[in-house]
This record gives sequence, structure tokens and C-alpha cells, in this order.
Amino acid sequence: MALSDVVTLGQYIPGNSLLHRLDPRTKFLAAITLTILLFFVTKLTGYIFFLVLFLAVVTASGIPLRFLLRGLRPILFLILFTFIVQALFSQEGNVILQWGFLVIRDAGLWKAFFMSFRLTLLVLVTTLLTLVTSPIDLTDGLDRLFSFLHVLRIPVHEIAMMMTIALRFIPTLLDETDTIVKAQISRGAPLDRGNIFRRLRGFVAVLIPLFVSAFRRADELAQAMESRCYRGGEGRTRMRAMVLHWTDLWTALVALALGLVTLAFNWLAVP
Amino acid sequence: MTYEDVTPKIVLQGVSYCYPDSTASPVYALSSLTLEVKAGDFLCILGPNGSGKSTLGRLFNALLIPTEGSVQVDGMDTRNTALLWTIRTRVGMIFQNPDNQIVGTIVEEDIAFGLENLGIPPNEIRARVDWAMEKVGISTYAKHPPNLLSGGQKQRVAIAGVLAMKPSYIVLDEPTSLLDPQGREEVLRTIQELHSEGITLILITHRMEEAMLACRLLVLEKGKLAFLGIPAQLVEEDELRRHAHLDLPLAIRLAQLLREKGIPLPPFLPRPEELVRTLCALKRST
Repeated sequence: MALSDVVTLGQYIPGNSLLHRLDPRTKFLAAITLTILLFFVTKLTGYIFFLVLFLAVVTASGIPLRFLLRGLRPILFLILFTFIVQALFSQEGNVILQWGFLVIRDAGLWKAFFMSFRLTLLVLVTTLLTLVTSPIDLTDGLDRLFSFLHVLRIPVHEIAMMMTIALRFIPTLLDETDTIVKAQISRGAPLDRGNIFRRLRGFVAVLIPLFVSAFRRADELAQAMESRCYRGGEGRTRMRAMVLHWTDLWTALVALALGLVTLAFNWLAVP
Repeated sequence: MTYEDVTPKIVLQGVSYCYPDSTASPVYALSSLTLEVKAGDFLCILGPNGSGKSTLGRLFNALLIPTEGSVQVDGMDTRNTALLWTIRTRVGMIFQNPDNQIVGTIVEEDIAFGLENLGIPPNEIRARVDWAMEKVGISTYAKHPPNLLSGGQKQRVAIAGVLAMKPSYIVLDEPTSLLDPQGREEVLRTIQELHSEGITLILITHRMEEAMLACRLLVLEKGKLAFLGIPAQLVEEDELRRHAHLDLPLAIRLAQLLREKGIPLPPFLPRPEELVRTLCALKRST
């Protein structure tokens, strides 16, 4: 099996749901709004409302929940760590458990729970965004969304172009890595045996040719781009027009309204 | 200033090129080359490695500027930076490695790249991209990521990307050297079609079979012009070919041997199909 079959690019799952069809800019802004909102919610009911809302959106996207939860795996440790630290070192509330110098208080436990909840949903929201938006759409969307920043001399177009090229070359370089690994193993490089340190040291023999080749590719690509009249973002047009549809407006309005409702729980006399 | 009234052609006048080098004595990759490529020509540039083929190719679209002498594309001097983008629109360039010249993450995005750079309106880009994909026969792969295509298909994507910019000239720098025989066949068929539709081609190669497709051949040796003429002429130049390490294509060698055996074959049959056809005709008539 080639390396490029194992490593999936981004985690985009093609589909045709409302979420898939929305303009990437709308999706990006909605995701950002939701994550910011998450930090302002203080009441339990607010969190529950948020969770229900989020699950409704996931259902609408048609993305199986297990794909979403897979996104949590890399930060599971962080969430657990946050929970433990918050639970053990909080100084508020009544003591509910004491064992030596370890004290667990009720307010601390709540806080720990909320913090982990926030962190989990934060990751879930961004994961959902990448699940329903192809990397190229996302890059394109960000390029257009932040193009105004070039007034501040931030090279938005250049950054987006770099991301596009990176996305384009990841499979190519993965295939090449595969070839180099095989070539070096066939010459007796200890890449597939010995302890971890021996293997890691062996990988230098893979990285150096890979880097040399990447630079050569970069040089050739630059020439090809120049030959095709590339001269930065100035005066450039795009084949794919990004048009905001009515659904984008409705989505934005509904998201905003629901966000305000979530916040409203903070002032209501509910737990 | 207009350039419309100038006869369309690329003119090289006493061109020398020297790569910037830290060592004291400059090494010339090309020296005092004078050449004219008229519209509709199909020029093939041959020569062993390090003979200056690729350097010459890069002079045509101002990727390199001559150290001495001048290159003029339809009357526009490549030294004039104001004309750089017009020149590069006129003279398209295809490189050896298809992987390293595809920018877009999907086929149609890549073909649109050059047009987007020129600032052409979106609907016209769309139309031209569809036209170019149709022309080279890759329409079915429009939405494919390039890494799923074969070498020949990738190279045709690159050709479509250049073609969409509607160039008058296309320079191809060893476009088939990294391809398998089938991919090579696809690419050669495509470029022959382009030539028959009036695009001027400059093909850089070291394969004599490919060179035989051209109208004119140019052989470079150590940066100097060693030969310029029609393919049939080069077949006669045994000494020169041995010098430049250019082996005759199998069909021509076979025809030579058959002629020596007394079979009456015409002097120049570069392609295997022609040889087969002639031999069959001979057999029927006897």
C-alpha cells in the first residue's frame, strides 16, 4: 500500500448536504462565531442548548458521528489533562473529596467539566468544518475572505497560493517518500529494523534525498509558473466565481439568532 | 507602438548565453547562434546532454535573457521587461517533468491557472478551459486530482494549460523523456495535431524518432549550431550524427539495410508505418 493511500488529505468527506453546498466563507465565519460563543456560555442549560444545536447540525450534514469523534483522538490527552488540573487545583466551593493533599471541590468539578466540554466542542466544530469543506475550497474561501488584509501588507494571496501548492504536492511527495524508503531499504538502510533511535537515524537517509528533490521541484515549478504569466495576486481573476446564495444569508441569520439564544441562557434564571 | 504589422516569427540574432558562475572563466552554454523560426514551422532541437538545448528553449519565452545578441518574438525583444507577459502569452512552454509544472489541485483548476494570471473574465476562462480540455482529450478527467493521472495524461494537462492561453508558439522541452511508450505516443499525437492547426512548435528532444516528425532540425553541439536543415538531410550526415550521438530510427536503419540488399525503397521513410506500407505495396506489385 502506498503512503498516499494511508494519509488522507484533510479529512473531507464528499457529500451534497446543505452544509456541503454552503459557501466556504459562510461556513468558516459560522464556525468561528460558534467557537467564540462557546467561551461566553456560563450556564448548564446554555451548554445543553449548544450541544443539541450542534448535534442537529451534524445530523443535517450527514457525516457519521464516528468520523467526527475521530478528530478528538489527538487531543484526548489534553482534554483529560485540563479536566484533572481544573478539578484538583480549584480553590472554590465545598470540599467533596479529600485524599492527602489532593482536594476535590464541587465548584472545581463543575469548572473542570465545563472546560473539557468547551475544548471538546471547539475541536468538534472545527473538525466538522474540515469534514464538509474540501481543502481547496477552504483555501479559496480564506483567500477571498481575508483579501482585504492586503491593505495592511499581509500577503493573503501568496499565503493561499502556498497552501494550494502544498496541497497539490503532498500526494506527489508522499509517493516519492515511498520510493526513496524502498530504495534505501534495498541498499540495506536499517529503516525497518532495530530500535526506535536506530530507525530514526536511518530516516536521515530518506529526508536528505527528499529535501533535495523538493527543492528541485520547487525550482522547476517556479519556472513553469512564470512561463504561465504568474505574477502574484495583482490583477488576477478566478475561474470559479464564489457567489453567496440566499441559503448563505439564511444560514448566517439563523446561526446568529441561535447564538444569541445560547447567550441568553446566561441571564435567565435557570441553572 | 504596435507589433501587429511585423511578420510573425521568432528571430535569434547572434545569441550567446553564459550562466552566471563564480569561477573566473565564463562557460558559454550557447555561442553566437542566429536562427529564425517562422509561423507554422515545426522545429526540432537535437543534441547530446549539455549541448545547450534547454538553455536555448528558455531563451524563446524570456525565462533567460541572452548574454549577447537578441531574441525577438514577433518583433518584441525579450530584453524589454514591459513586453515580458505578452511574450510569454505568445510563447507557451512545456517542461520535461509533468509533475513539476501542474499547479492546480484538480485538472481544470490547473488549466485555468494561466488564464487567471492574465486576468481574463471567469466565463471566458470557463469556455477556454473546456475548449482546451476537449482539444487534448482530457475532458473526462476535468475534476480529477493530477496525481491520479498517468504520465501521458499529466503531460496533456500541461499542454492544455498552455493551449488555453492561445499561444502562437509552443516550446516543448523533452516532453516525453519521462513517459512510458504509451504516454509518449499520446503526447506526440497531441502535438502533431496542434501543429496541423497552425501552432508553431519548437520541440527539444534527444530521440531521433521524434525528430523525424519535425519540418526542420537543428543540432546543437557544445552550444554551437552543428546542423540546420530538413530531416532527410540529417540522415545523410553520418559523421555529424556520430559526433552528436544521434542514432537513426529503426525504420530508417532497416530501410538502409534493405536497400543494400537491392530492394528498391525510396531514400527517406522515417516512420515505421510508412516503411510497412511501402514494403507491402512492393510485395503486391511483384
